[in-house]
Amino acid sequence: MTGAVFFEINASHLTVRFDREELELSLQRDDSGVITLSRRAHLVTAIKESLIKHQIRSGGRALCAIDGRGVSLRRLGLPPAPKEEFQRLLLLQLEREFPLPPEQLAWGSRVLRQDAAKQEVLVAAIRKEMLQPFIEIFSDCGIQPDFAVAALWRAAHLQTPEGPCALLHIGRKHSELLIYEDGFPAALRVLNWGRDNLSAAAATDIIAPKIYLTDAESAVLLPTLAGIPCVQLQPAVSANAPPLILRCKEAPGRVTYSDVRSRKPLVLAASLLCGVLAFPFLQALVLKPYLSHRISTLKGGIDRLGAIDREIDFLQYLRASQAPYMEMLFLMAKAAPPGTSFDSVSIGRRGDIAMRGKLGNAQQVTDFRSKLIEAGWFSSVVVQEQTPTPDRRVTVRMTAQLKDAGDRKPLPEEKPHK
Amino acid sequence: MKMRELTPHEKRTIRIAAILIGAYLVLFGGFLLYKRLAAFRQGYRQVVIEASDLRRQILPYQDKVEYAKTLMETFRMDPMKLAATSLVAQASAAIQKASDDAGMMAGPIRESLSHTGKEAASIQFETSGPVPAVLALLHNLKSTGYPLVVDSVQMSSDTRRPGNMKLNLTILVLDFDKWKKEEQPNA
Repeated sequence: MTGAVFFEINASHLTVRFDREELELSLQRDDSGVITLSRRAHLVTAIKESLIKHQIRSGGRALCAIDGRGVSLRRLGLPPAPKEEFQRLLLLQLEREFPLPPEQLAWGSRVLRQDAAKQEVLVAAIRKEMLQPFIEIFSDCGIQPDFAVAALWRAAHLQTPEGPCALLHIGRKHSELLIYEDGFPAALRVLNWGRDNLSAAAATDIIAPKIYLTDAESAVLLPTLAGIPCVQLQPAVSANAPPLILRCKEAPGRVTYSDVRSRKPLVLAASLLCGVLAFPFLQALVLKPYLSHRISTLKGGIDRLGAIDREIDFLQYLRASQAPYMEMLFLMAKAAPPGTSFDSVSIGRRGDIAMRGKLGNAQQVTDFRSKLIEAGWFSSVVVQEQTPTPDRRVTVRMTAQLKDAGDRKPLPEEKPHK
Repeated sequence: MKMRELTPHEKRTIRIAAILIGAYLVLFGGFLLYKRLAAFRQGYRQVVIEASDLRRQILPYQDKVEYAKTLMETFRMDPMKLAATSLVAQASAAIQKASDDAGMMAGPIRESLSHTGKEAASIQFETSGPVPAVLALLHNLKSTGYPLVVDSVQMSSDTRRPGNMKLNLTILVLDFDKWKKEEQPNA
């Protein structure tokens, strides 16, 4: 809960208290004392609306003070014991002290005082079924209630009275008398009169040397009770004891306080499970239209793939068809000795070369042919005709065949001119 | 008229009946819903498989497109954009321009259309010029922007202009439209 909210429950009303405001809701019980179903629904709606109005988020805890009807107070003496042992001993004592088994009780305890030999414990208990309707109502409102006895809660906020006495709280129709022994609460009585019928107070029998009242207004209304003077007990600066919370456990077949507390992880786990189960379907629901649209778009452009293949094949063919004319001319120029002149050179795309020219002498013809072969680009170099001329030179007619691309040597790099 | 309050036993019976009917409705409705959703999911699975096949089909084309781009940049040409009807005329003009740009003196040019094979036409082109210009022309012919294949080169000395060479080129103009995929390069 983000804001402060406090509930107070008595026989006829459920009061929702906020910081500066309160909402009193009638309980409207039927003849058997059970809150009717329609009233329950009304209570849930009203509480929810008021929580929303005061911007109080559900799912949190809230203190619910209950009146003394049905509440039993006991002071039990227990030997000192560790925590687990203490609980076990306390349960045994509860079984002995109360007519109902502890499982059917909502109960809480507080250690009043202890020494090396003994500890005194105050136990408050109420039949669980009396709280059950409120547990269900609060559960429907998304609230986890901490039930506490209103009389003890009030007393904790007043100065601690000394000696045997009684603390009287006057309500509208009922009053509550908390009896003190040795400075600690010992019993709780609900009186059938209140501010509305104060005259009935005269018939009350009280055996207490002092009576304290919880507020100044009551002190004015009731100066004496059964001949005992009533004085107001002043408020304490701070609470002198923590609230005694009544624990509700094990109410089979119904929503219980502990169930309410453990519902959140269950809801989370269930949501997670639903999410996991629904995910494949949600995925299909969301992604299928998108994928279908994308596929139809891609299929529309799939014809383009064939065109790309055709383009690549065409360009590859074009590249492969380019004969290396420049490279062949470079190799011939490099192999030709100085003074060589070519009358004609003919080169075909498939690498067939025919050349006619003049070289210095027969040795140069041999050297030229050797160099062409050594270049590693020509598979056969044939001197078809070699004729000496009157000027002591040699006219030659040669042919050569270009090797396949994979069989050729790399071109020699030309040295830079100095 | 106020309705009679139900006894706890009647309430219990009604509660159990409501739970049973609710469970039946939930199970029956759930089963129907599951069947519909399962069919929808099956459809989605098929679409996913189809998408995956399509992806596998398309994936190699990322590299192919890059390769095609590189080749197009090398030849400065996009085969798809070549105009089939005016291809030979434009290629012939491009050859003469390349010759002029290289510093050659263009001579006669003869075009003969091809009706078979991959070629659109064969162009015989005579030109003359100094040796560096001849080499420049041979180099430039690769990047005219048209699919040209130099089929043969004949070089001879130009008797009329000493120091110059006569160049006789046979150039094939390839036709992309006639291109057939099954044909493989044989050069």
